[in-house]
Amino acid sequence: MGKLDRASLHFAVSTFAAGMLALYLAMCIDLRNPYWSMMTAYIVSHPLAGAVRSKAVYRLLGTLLGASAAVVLVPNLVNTPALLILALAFWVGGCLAVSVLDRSPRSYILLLAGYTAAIIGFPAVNNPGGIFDVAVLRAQEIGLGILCGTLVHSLWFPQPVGKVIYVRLESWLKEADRWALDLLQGGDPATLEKDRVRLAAAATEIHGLATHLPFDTSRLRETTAVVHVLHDRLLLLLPILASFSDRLQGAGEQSTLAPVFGRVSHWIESGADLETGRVLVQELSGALAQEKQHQPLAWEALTRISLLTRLQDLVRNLGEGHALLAQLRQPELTLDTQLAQAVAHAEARPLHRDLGLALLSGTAAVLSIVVTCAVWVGAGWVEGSASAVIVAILCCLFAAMDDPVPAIRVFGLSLVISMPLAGLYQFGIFPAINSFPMLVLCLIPLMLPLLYLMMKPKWAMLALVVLLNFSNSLAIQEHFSGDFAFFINTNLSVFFGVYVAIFVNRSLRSLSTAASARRLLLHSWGNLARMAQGRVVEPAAAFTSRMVDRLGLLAPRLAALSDPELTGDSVLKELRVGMDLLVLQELRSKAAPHVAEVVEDLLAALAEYYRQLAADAGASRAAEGAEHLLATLDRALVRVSTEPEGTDAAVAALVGLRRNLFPQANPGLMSSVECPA
Amino acid sequence: MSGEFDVFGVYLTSQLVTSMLALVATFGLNRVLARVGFYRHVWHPALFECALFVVLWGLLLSLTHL
Repeated sequence: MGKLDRASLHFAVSTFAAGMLALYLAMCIDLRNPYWSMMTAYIVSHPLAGAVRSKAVYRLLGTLLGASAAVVLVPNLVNTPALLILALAFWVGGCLAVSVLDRSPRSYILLLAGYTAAIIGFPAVNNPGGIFDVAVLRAQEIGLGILCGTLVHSLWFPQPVGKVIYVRLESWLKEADRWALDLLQGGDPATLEKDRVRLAAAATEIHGLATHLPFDTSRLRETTAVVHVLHDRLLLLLPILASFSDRLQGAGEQSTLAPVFGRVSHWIESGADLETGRVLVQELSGALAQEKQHQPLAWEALTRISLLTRLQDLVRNLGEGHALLAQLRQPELTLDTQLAQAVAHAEARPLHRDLGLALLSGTAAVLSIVVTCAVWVGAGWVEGSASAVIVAILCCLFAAMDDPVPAIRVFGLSLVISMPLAGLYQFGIFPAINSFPMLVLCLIPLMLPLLYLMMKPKWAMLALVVLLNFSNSLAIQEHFSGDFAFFINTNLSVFFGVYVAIFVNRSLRSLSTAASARRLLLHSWGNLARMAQGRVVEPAAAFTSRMVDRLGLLAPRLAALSDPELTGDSVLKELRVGMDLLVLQELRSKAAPHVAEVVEDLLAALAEYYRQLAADAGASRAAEGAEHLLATLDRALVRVSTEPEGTDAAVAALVGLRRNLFPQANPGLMSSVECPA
Repeated sequence: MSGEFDVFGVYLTSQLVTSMLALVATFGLNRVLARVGFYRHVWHPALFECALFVVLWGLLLSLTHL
């Protein structure tokens, strides 16, 4: 705990320093709103240097784009207010929709482009001639803030992302080792249940960190490709471990496998060396051949084949994972040729996308802006522009949440806190001081604690918005100090904006946690149906990346929810089904015609099954389609398992499907299919 | 070090233009250095980059001063 606090303190001090540097420089070169620079320096700050630098680049680009949009739109359309409002509203909404769809840190560009255009464009409507100067000034203020934030966080004891990623990857792999060992040596299943979901969430977190890696201050940034490949291995390990654990429960008599398990667990305990791992995979192939001697194969023998195949996958991926981690620790080492090739062809992995949600967020932004602008222009309320600006900012900032309304309420609450504070500083304290050092001293007691709280998850949100609103109020008041009517009008207008944002978002955009979790499941089912149909063919790692991302998104939602029907297991199960589907698709294209035929039937039945699930939102799982599916599955299993060779992976996949989709189904049923009618 | 550049009718201060040029040069040089593996031997890469930028900017100013 003590150590954690020191990290927070370090963050608070360096961020404060960055803010003050920005404020000082902005005052030196006579920018109009120096507090905007300070505010920006606070916004870009992040405990990890790489994250600050990537955010800074994206933010700067976004600001320039947004400023340009405002400069182009406002003077050209200012004579037709309705058109101008619509144009700005659609600009904000469009940018927001695309950035919600993207979900990577890169999405920051469009997010910023959206609301910067609103920040510059709406107030300029009253004075369109000056928009170019305003846009340049605003870009300078923001640019200065970004620069100061980046400089301080990169130079003053930077916390490199690389180090954090390395530690995370190492502990992840260690936990995967632990899980594998527990399974091989017969650990307690109840504790394993929780590990799964946690590992998935951690995998998503590693992905998020890795996107900042190219901007890092550590030498790990040169190894971005290695991190990506290692991340792929981790993603594949999740379903492999889960399937392996499932097959263990269904394999029946396992005494023949004990020596094999012993060797694998010894291998893991001794550090999972890649070379030895390859030898182990060969040995496992021998064990597989032994299992297949007794034809025809009973269900339990089939399960054991599946088990051994998964064990091979496990050994391969664990071995490669450890080799890659060693490479990260010592970049001087030469990598295994096969792995080096994978590293050379590494690419970023896709994330889960939700087009509907993105469009909804964009629509909510457009509607809120149009409503506020209608009031502003319709009533001839000059200060009403502030409400349009605040609505744009609110819709953008909180768009990533299931339900943005509580966050917007916190924002409204923070306004109530920060306005009197800003008033106190502006009218009570600032008139009494006349030097910059005094100003810094006066700001310390307020800002340091707030910055410190930004590192505490429970308070982070409130602290950040209080800080932002405080800076923002200072900026407004300094510019028009003394005009009390203006002060009241602007603040009223901001509150009006918050109210509209709450109203529109609540009626249009809010999703309950349960609805959002269900939505994620529906997307997984739709994905599987399309895959089974063969309309989408994607590499295993890409599919896994998207599914694990869903799993990672689902994990915190499920923790907040205690619906017995929804468990993290459901997505993990679909993930395993998806991996099996990929194997079957390969089999369909390669196998002999009489095998390909049954596989074709099976894929069609699976596609139908998942289409129904996606359509009915999971309501009628026990439809007669399921019975048909089970029969088709068993037929395929019998047909494929009697093939002489080259079908281990396919048998493993079919057994996996049966275990995942029909865990309760009687394995004896298979015998009835065996004698074809 | 004073004066302005005329870029398509928009006047930009010379500091802005030269610092941007230096920044681009720094990014380019950085990429080369990282590719060569130079940063493995640097204690504080970010500080090195920053210093590199200052050196290049200074160089550019003294060259264009003439």
